[in-house]
Amino acid sequence: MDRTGIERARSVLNRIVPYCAPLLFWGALWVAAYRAIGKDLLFASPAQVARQIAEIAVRPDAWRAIGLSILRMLAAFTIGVTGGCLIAAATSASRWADILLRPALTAVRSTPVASFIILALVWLRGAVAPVLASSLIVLPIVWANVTEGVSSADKDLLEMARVFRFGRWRTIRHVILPSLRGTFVAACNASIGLCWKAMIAAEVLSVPRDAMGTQLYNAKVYLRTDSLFAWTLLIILLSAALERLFLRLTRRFAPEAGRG
Amino acid sequence: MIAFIGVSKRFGEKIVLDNFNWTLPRGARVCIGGSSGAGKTTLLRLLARLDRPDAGAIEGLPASASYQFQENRLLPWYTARRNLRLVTDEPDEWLDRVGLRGEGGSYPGELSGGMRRRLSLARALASPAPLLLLDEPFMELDSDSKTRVMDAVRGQSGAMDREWIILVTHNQLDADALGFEYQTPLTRRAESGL
Repeated sequence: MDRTGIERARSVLNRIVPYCAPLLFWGALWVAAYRAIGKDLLFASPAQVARQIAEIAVRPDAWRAIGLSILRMLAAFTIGVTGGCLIAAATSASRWADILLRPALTAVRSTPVASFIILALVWLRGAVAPVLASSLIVLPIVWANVTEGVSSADKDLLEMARVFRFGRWRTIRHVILPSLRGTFVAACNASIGLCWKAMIAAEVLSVPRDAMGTQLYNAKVYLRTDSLFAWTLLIILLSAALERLFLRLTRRFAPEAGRG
Repeated sequence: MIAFIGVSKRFGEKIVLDNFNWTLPRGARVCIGGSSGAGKTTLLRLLARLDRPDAGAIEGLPASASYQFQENRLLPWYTARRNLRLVTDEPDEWLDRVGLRGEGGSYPGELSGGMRRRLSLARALASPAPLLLLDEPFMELDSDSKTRVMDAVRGQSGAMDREWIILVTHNQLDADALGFEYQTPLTRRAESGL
């Protein structure tokens, strides 16, 4: 092999190794753990999980569960983000709104996810409860970040807007909203993963008809550890994919976030 | 006429203006000189209604002012053209007047210090208001840019709708070149022992 060939091979290796090495390492550890435990009921092997995923891939009801869980998560995320922004607008614009709402939002932020889920199940039935529970996880995060962004808007630019007679709406549109872009995107990035996890937990407890959480619940009930592992792996992969997709979308639609 | 009558202004312990009296007749074209920290920017901020006097009164202030701030205060997320479009329908014409033709699509962060200075001047000049306030407009400018900016300011001098033009500079030669009256009201205050 000539020098160019060696360099090309080295470059390919450099690209592959960061992905393959952790896979091999954790795969080997997984196999070792499976052999050490030696009970399929407690611990599934990589081969069993792969077989389960292959089975899930051809089941139409599994795809429906995946699709509806994603849809519910997107609905909860949209409700949480919209609610958080609207409340932030109110608390930033009115001192009284801030005095009245801040304690409630602080309490919501400190409330455990499980409490929301159980309360939502008491109030609502079926597929709506997980949406409400996970939207309540997103809302205070977005509210806190947007409020912080508004209060830390550049005072010099606000003065400039005053001198040039922008008026309230033009000031909001041209000065406050663009300066919020960075904190808003950060809040969304931070809350999308939490929203997904809360959604799955709520689905496990509320057991709606078509849901990934319900599949997890069924796997537990029927002692299908291989199925439990397979669905958990799918949930992790989907979470990573959704976070990545969101990051790409924000980079595409808000490329100026943080420009300054 | 704009009249400062017994105006006092302090920031914490520091007294910037103390029983300050000053008049600016309609049509005044004035360069304010004086040492750093004397209160020149405070005067402009009072004229722009960004600050209020702690005591005394300012009479005859027009409802609106156009202001070139010392720190430019351009919107970093908008291009040069869009920054100007916020105050005028003819941004390209104003870019041309301050020698920034071809930079309309650049963001402030992509411009040099002198270019940003000229852009903020263009915004102040393009914004119609009876009172024009310029805080050190020639700062960071090379000689060519300064000549161009002086021409742009001189162009405003004859504008009938500009009832007052107040410019802060450290250099009396700038006032002479523009044909503006050079005043040091704050230095006089200091010399009078106030």
